[in-house]
Amino acid sequence: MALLDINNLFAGYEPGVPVLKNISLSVEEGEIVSVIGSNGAGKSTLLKTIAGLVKPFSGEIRYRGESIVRLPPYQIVKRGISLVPEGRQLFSDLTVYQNLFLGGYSLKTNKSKIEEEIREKEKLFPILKERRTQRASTLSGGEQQMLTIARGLMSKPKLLLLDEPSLGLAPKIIQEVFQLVKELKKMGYSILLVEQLANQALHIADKGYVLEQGKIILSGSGEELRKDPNVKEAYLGV
Amino acid sequence: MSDIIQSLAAGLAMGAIYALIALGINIIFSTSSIVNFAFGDLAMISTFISFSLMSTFHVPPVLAVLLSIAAGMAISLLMQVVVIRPIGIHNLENRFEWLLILLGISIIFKNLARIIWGPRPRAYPNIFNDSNVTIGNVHLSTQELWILIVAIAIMVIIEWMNRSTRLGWAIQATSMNKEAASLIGINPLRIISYTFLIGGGLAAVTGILIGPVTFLSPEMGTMVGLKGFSAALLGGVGSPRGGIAGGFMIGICEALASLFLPADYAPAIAFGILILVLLIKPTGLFGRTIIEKV
Ligand SMILES: Nc1ncnc2c1ncn2[C@@H]1O[C@H](COP(=O)(O)OP(=O)(O)OP(=O)(O)O)[C@@H](O)[C@H]1O
Ligand SMILES: [Mg+2]
Repeated sequence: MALLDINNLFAGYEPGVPVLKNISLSVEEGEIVSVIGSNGAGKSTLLKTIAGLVKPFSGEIRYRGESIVRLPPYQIVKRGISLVPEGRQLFSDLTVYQNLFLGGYSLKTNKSKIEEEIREKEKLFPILKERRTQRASTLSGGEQQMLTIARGLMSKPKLLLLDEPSLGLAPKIIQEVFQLVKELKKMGYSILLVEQLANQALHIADKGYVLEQGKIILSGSGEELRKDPNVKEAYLGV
Repeated sequence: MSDIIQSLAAGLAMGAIYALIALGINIIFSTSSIVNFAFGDLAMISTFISFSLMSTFHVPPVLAVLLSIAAGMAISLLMQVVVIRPIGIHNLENRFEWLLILLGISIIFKNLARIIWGPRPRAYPNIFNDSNVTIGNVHLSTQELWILIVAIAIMVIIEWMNRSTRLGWAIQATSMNKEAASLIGINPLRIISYTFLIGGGLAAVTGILIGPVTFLSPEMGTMVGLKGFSAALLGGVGSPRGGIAGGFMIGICEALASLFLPADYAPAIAFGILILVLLIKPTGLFGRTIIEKV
């Protein structure tokens, strides 16, 4: 049984206007799965639908065999799925520490347990320790992205949904982000990554999907897709 | 000179009342984008409840006060359900049905009070014994002193909640970004409910504090509520500290003006300052959220 199983999913924002059309995909435990696609393809909509922010029109989303389509986002995160949203979405007037602390909100545990968790995240992202008492809005773009990921990890997820973590970052930082995603896989997280940077995203992926205008038009292993002539032409700029 | 200090002291007490109302209106607005116009009427109802408990049912004052605070919270929560249920929590900042619903609630509250307690003003039992405290050559009634002590204690508690508690942070997170809040496990509707509970408690406390100063009547909440609302606007809606500053400013200006002008002009002072400040800085003295929200 796959960790995440999506079957014949249709979803969108207005009734009768599906953005996602007949999507089927799966994420096995311990995998990095990359979904690539250009602007407006529906990548964010896909992740938002899994996380419960967008309600599906039809189709199934199963997490560990159990349907989650009817659950609100704040219950989905409790089951172990954490969405790291596009464009950071930090609580900008709160401090780095407060953002992290709230990331553990769904744990419903005591303060010292959450602080323990924060210290662990600060080991992974030492810069966040230095910035602890700063407001989130005062961080650089790269630091904000790290904080968003760290906040997403605070709920102790099994499955991490990453929405274009490279967006708006300098090339050097982008490399760090992809390095980090590989690192997270080693730590045992299963990852569904959505990216426009097809080459890097497929490079680190066990499995990939190509999303075009709300439909999955291709799938295969990361390597297969990187060698596919259509993918090369449309996404790798070769 | 001592006249001025004397009215400053009185203005401070009234200002604290307006500040409490602004605080309540702000905390509800921050999570729900709803401006609770019926706040003053909720204060009135809660005060009447404490009045009935004491005078009709002979409940001891402390218990009566606590029960009416609980009632204020419960009614406020009910208001949340009535106002938000038909709209849903998404897109609240772009919907204005709540305005009509709240106006309706305000009318219902006033008429309910008229039916239950009658239209004529009644004296509130003086639960704070009626004496004066003299500091230097300024005389404060114990009532005014109580208002200041309770109001400042509440402000300190709310500031502490915002700075240091998980609930305070969750409230701020919800007001900054509901979607991101729900992604980390916060149920935004639940947090909105908490702010309505806090607001309802504040309304009740405010009503009970001014009960002995003004008389009790179905109309008692209207003017105070409006001035508290002005204080919130003056400080910038959504800014707790702004609302407190706005409240004290209006209270003090009113009191100082009463030295030179007939008392009937007091409301004109409050709204005059408000209009003046909003002309110069439309977001209020400390506000900036309005701009981001629109
Ligand atoms: N909140 C919304 N309401 C209505 N339509 C939306 C909303 N968000 C996205 N859409 C539409 O859904 C489609 C897919 O958008 P989505 O954000 O999922 O694309 P994306 O692949 O994530 O693009 P990008 O690379 O720009 O992030 C677009 O046509 C977009 O206009
Ligand atoms: Mg997107």
